[in-house]
Formats: sequence, C-alpha cells, structure tokens
Amino acid sequence: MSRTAVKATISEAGYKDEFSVKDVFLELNYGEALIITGRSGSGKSTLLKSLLGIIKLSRKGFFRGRVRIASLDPYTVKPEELFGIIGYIPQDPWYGVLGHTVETEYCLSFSVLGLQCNPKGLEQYGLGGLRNHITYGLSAGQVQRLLWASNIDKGGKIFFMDEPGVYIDEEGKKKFLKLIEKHLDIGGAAIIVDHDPLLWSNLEPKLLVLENGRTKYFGSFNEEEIPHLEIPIERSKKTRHYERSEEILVAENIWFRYPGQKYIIRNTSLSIRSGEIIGITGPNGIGKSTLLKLLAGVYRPSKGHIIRGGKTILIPENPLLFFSGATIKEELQISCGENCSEDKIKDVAEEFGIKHILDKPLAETSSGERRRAALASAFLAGYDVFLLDEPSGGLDNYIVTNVIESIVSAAERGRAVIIASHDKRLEKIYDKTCRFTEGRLECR
Amino acid sequence: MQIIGILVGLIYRTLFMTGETGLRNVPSILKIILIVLSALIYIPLYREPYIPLLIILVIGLLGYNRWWAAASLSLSSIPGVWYGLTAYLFGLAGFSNYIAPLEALMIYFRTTYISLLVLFAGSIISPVRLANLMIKVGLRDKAITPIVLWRTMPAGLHDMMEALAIGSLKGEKAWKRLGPATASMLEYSQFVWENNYYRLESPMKSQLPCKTEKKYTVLVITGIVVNAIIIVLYFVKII
Repeated sequence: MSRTAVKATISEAGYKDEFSVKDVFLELNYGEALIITGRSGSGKSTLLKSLLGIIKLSRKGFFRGRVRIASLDPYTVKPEELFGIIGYIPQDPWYGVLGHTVETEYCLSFSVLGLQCNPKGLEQYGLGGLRNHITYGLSAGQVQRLLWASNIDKGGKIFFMDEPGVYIDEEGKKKFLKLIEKHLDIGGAAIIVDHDPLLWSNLEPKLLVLENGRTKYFGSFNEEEIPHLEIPIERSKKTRHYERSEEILVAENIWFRYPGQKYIIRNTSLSIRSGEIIGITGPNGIGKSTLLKLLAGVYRPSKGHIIRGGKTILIPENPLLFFSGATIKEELQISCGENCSEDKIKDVAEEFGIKHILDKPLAETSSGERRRAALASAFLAGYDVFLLDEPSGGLDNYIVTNVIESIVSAAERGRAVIIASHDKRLEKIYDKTCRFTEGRLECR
Repeated sequence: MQIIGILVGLIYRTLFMTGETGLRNVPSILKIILIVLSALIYIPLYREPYIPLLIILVIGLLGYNRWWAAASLSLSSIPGVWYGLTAYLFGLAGFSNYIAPLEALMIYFRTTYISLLVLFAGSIISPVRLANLMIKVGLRDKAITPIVLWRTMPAGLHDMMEALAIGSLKGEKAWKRLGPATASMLEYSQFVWENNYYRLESPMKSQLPCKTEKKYTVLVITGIVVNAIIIVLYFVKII
C-alpha cells in the first residue's frame, strides 16, 4: 500500500466568475495531519471541496488539476468506494446530517458500508441519552458531536474536517483532539480546516496557509506562518455605564420544557439593563438557544414570567432566517422604514462594515457578512434588546473583530445585548457571564 | 402570521415531533391492519362517527402523548369544522337542504375522523422500517429516500417556524417570511446534497437497527381487536 494518503496538484478550482483557488500543491502521508488555515474567504473550504471532488456538484463549480485520495480519483471513482475510505465533517454541521434521529444518522453510514451498527458507540460522544432524539431538534454542538461519532466509528482512514470544533464546548474539543491523535497513531490521516491551528499543534501536523486562494505556506507546522490577530477590543468595563440605566428585560423564575420532555430550564432568573452585554455559556445542548427564544417571546415559559420593557429581537444561529429583503440594502431599507434617508442607511452600513456589499444578494453573502448585516438591520429597526445566538460561529479573528465591534457599537448606543455562545473570544466584551448548568443560570 | 405559524407548528407536532419511539416501534404489518380496519369501521359507525374518532385518539394518546393528541385533533378539526359549518350555514341560507345542528355535528365528526386517520397513518410510519423493507425487496439504491424525507421535511418546517417567529418579532406579514424560509431551504438542499454526496450515491447494504416495543404492540393489537369486533358485530347484524 502506498504511504501517500492524499496528493493534490490543483491549477485552478472554484466557482465560475466567482472565487477560485489556484496553484495549490499538497501531499499527506498516513499517520499525518494537515491543518489548512487562512483568513475567512481565503479559499479553505473551496480547497477542501475540491480535494473531495464535491466542488463539481455546485452549479458554478469547476476543477482543473489532479487529486488522489488513497490512490483514487475522487472525480471518477464510484461513490461507495470512496465513502468507505473517507470521513467528512462540513463547516455547517446541520448540512451533514441525513438521518431523522441520532441513532439513524449514526447507523446510516454503517448500513452503506454493509456493517452492523451498535448504537452504544454513541455513548463515548456524550450522545448515549439522545439515541431516539430527532436530529432537527439538536443544538449545533450536538450535531457536530454526532458527525464526529458517525465519521470516526464507521472506520474511514482519511478524515476531511471543516472547522470541526467550532460549535463544540471546551471539554468536547479536548476529547476529540485525543480521538484524532489515536486515529493518526493507528495509521489514519486527517485534513483539518481551522482558523485556529494552534488547537491542533500537539499533533505535529503539516501546515498549509492560504491567502486569496493561493498557497502562502506549505510545510511543517510553524507558528510564525500562522496569520495572528489579537482581538483588539476591550470594553471599558470600569465605567459600567449601563448600571445607571433601567432594567429593560427581566425574566423571573422561569421554567420551560418541550412537549413530552423534561424541563430544560428550571427556575431561572435573569435581568439586563440598556447598554449591558451578557454572555450565556454552557455545554452543548444545555438550553442556551431555548433561553434566548423564551426571552424573545418565541416560546412561552411553562412557569414564571418575563417582562419586556422594550422591543426585543432574536438573531438566530442561521442568520439567513432573519432577513426580509433580498439584498443587504433592501433589508436595511425595510428595517429603517419608509421615511429613512439613504444617508442614514449608508452611515449604519459603514458602522457595521457592510457598506461595500450593500447591493450583494443576501443568499450570496458569507456567514460573517450575514451576521453583521443582521446586526445593522436590527440596529436600524430600533430594537432595544438584541438576543444573539452563536454570533461568531465559524468566523476567524478578523471577522470576529468586526462582529464584536458591531455588537459593542450597538451596546454603546444603549442596546442591551444577550449572547449565547461558548466562544471564548467574545468573553472580553461581556459585562456579566452567566453559565448554564442543569437548567439553571449562575451569573458573575 | 400567527395562524400560519400555528398551522406549521401543528403539522410539525403531529408528524415529526418524535423520533423512532411510541407507535413507530410496532411491526409494520400490525400497523397496516390497524389502519385498514380503522377505515372499514367507518361503515358500521357512520351514524356514530365519534366512536372511531375516540378509538384513534386514545391509541394516539397512549402511543405518543397528549401533545400529539391535541395537535392532531386540532389539525384534523379544521376540515371538520369547515364542512360541518358550511353545510349548516348553507342550509340555513337556503343554498342547500336544511340540516339540524346535530347532523352538522356528525358531519364535523366524520370529516375530522377521516383527516385524523390520515394524520395518524402518517405519524406511525417508521422511515427506518420502510428503508429496511426496501433493502429486503432489493431497492437498496432508493432505501435512503424515506430517511432523507423524514429529515428534510421537518427541517424545512423547523426553518419555516423560526422564520415566522422572527417575522412575528419584527411585526411583519407572513408572506414576507416566505423569502428567507425558501432561501434557507434552497441553501439547505444544495449543501445537504454536496456534503452527503458519497453517502447519498451509495446503496444501503445492511438494515438499520429497529426495535419492537411490547407495550405499543399490545396497544395496536388491542386497537385491531376492538375494531374487528365492531366490524364483525355489524356484519352479523348485532349492531
């Protein structure tokens, strides 16, 4: 058997009339990991899709070059032949799930490979108690864990992972790092796209740094080659200006459960003042998003009550569901109202870093652009309380800086902001951090 | 806005709120017999349509939960109320023969029962058992279809509910929410296709695990026996 797990020489691949990666060469042996990094939009996901042969499935997708995965050409091989060799975790985990229940999703891959499935395997991924749970009711972190479980346990030799830990809590990340280490030890290989390559440095991986679709560096792991950016924003917490404001949202002793299930939120209280930023953290699936939906008024608490002193808006994990317009400009115009001036829209667009993409259709925008556009839209519409679900998911430090600036800007203009996330990069802007454990909040 | 949101929520709760639990964990042949007998029972109980309605509701209540029963009864009552009320009002207005309020109520029960039976049949289908059956009869290439359908339909409804809820917070009209929900669904189908290409294009070779629960099997058998007794009593002209 050849020692080479993946070898690629790509002259150009990407999307016609849009973005492409050019002149990329990479080689990876069994027992090795390769980390692909670079700024958002540098071509990391495009490269991964090109390697897997799935770029051709996109309407505008094209590929020129040569790729071999375990000596097979992904562009001509029978799908089932390659499926037995690879494991793939996409950036947005919910697009990687086919099964309607956790157990079905886990066992589907085994079925395709003709293997018998033992769902007890789910236990080591923290999903043992969710075997019969519907997959469309899981949190993003739980979905990501499920994809890890099905991809690792089906026995693929070469993993392709696009930001595989982005929605996973710290404890889960450590666990999965060990699983990858074990996978490499037994002769597997892994290509991992991550904007934080340091997380994987213990694996002594190879490193490929992309910049504007081209290779900036390919070689052994070298910290100096990683694009670093310290998030420069520090809120002046000392002033605690929000303490002078009135409470704008108060939840008192609220309880909540989904029909037919146990209470997920128990006797929880929380209040926020105008200008304050509260972070809600906690493990995957603990109920952070549910709490935001309760605070927004999407769900009603089973017990307890919520008093809203202002207009409240929720920006969900999938910001596409937030919009009403087709382009960013149209969205902002709708939010701003009929008597809104063009200048006001432009000013806000500039403030939120989206002025240059005002005419871009929202369906073609990136995750970071969508999140900033949603914040700008909510700001223009005059909402008093912003409830943000995982606002930094999948964004690199550069884009996160922009999103954080937008959030801080909204807070400084008197908006109250509650963020549900486990992203440590956001912690420095929180006035108060509330940790969710066993259905209750502990704030400090 | 509210009405559309409520309707979508009811469909979701009736058909997709549970995974492979409750009545889905009963052998398919028993479920088919129950549905067939539940349809046949309509003939002897044409004048008392609330009895079969009650039987299905009790089976659903014990086989799922009270939320299923409430959601499915509410949803199936929509055509029931429509037909019962229009028949009564048209009669009153002279557009058709006059019917008494009690007869209008019977129309409501009959229509609601038929709708409820369709919803009940939909909710007890197990996509896992269906996929396994397709593997058994040699349709391995297509066996993944029921699994994917039972994942994508509720995922679409879920997105729709979320889009409608946000629209409600924004104070927008329901039609304005169709755009984002549709955009999200289109994006969803494209990405699911791309990301699962190798799995979707490979035939399923071994069956998925599925369990049979004694409790629910007994419940369905009881339903079959009750229906069968009623039908037999009708044919021997005791009722």
